[in-house]
Amino acid sequence: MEYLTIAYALIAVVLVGYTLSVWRRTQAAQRERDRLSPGKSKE
Amino acid sequence: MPQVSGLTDSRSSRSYWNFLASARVAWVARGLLGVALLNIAIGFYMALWYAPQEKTMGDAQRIFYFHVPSAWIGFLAFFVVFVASILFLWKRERKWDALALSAAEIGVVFITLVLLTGPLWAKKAWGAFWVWDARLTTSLILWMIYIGYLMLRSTAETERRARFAAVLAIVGFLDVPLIYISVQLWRTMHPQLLITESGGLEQRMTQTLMVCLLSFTWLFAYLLLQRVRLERLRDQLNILRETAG
Repeated sequence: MEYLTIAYALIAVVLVGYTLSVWRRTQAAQRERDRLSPGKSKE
Repeated sequence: MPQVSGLTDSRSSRSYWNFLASARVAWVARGLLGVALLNIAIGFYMALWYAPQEKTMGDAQRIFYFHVPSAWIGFLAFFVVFVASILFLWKRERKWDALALSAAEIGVVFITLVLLTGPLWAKKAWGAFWVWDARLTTSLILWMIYIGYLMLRSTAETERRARFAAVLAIVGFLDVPLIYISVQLWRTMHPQLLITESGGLEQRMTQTLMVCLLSFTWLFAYLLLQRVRLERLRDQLNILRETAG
């Protein structure tokens, strides 16, 4: 059972971590774009 | 000028980028994430409680329900990289390069999951976390090839570097069919997946595997869409920085 728990925990950490990483990078890029070009936001 | 210096976009590419940036696509992405999360929850329930316990390996066998889909989605991602890289070398359009780079990153994430969960299963089945078995070794090589691809892309972006990375991605993809047939080509300890009516995987195990595969497919579609949209944002930022500078 412990191997199963470790495996599922690793899957969750990697997938949640990567999804959050993409989301954070997108937010940062959007903020930077809005800062450089206010009023030109398309997303 | 896009993220990769020296590349330009055709009119059709600009329409494609504008479509990706539209509010409708943003809603599609949110929908895909919602469906993926719901499907993963169902898959998790089925893997733990619906699928029967395997006789020899016990609960550790349940790693299989997310290990195999991780491998399949990793291969799918690298197939996208392969096709997009060919189209990039042919058309020299930034959109194909952006798609290849995005899919490569996601492919590496899923193959990382394969390489993390596989040894846990191996320890229970073979008594060792790692053996230099044909399928394990070719999978590790695949992961290293695309890590190399991402490292190449993480440095200063030029069209020449993007073309070189595309060639690496195309050649690297040859490892995927090799992984698939490795269990037939060499003597290997890795189990071969059998889904047949007469034997192989039990029906509830097959159903669970398919639900988990579907859940990761939704997640892949969401991540790919978001990752390509991020590339689009980076291109916009580069243009703005150059205009401001």
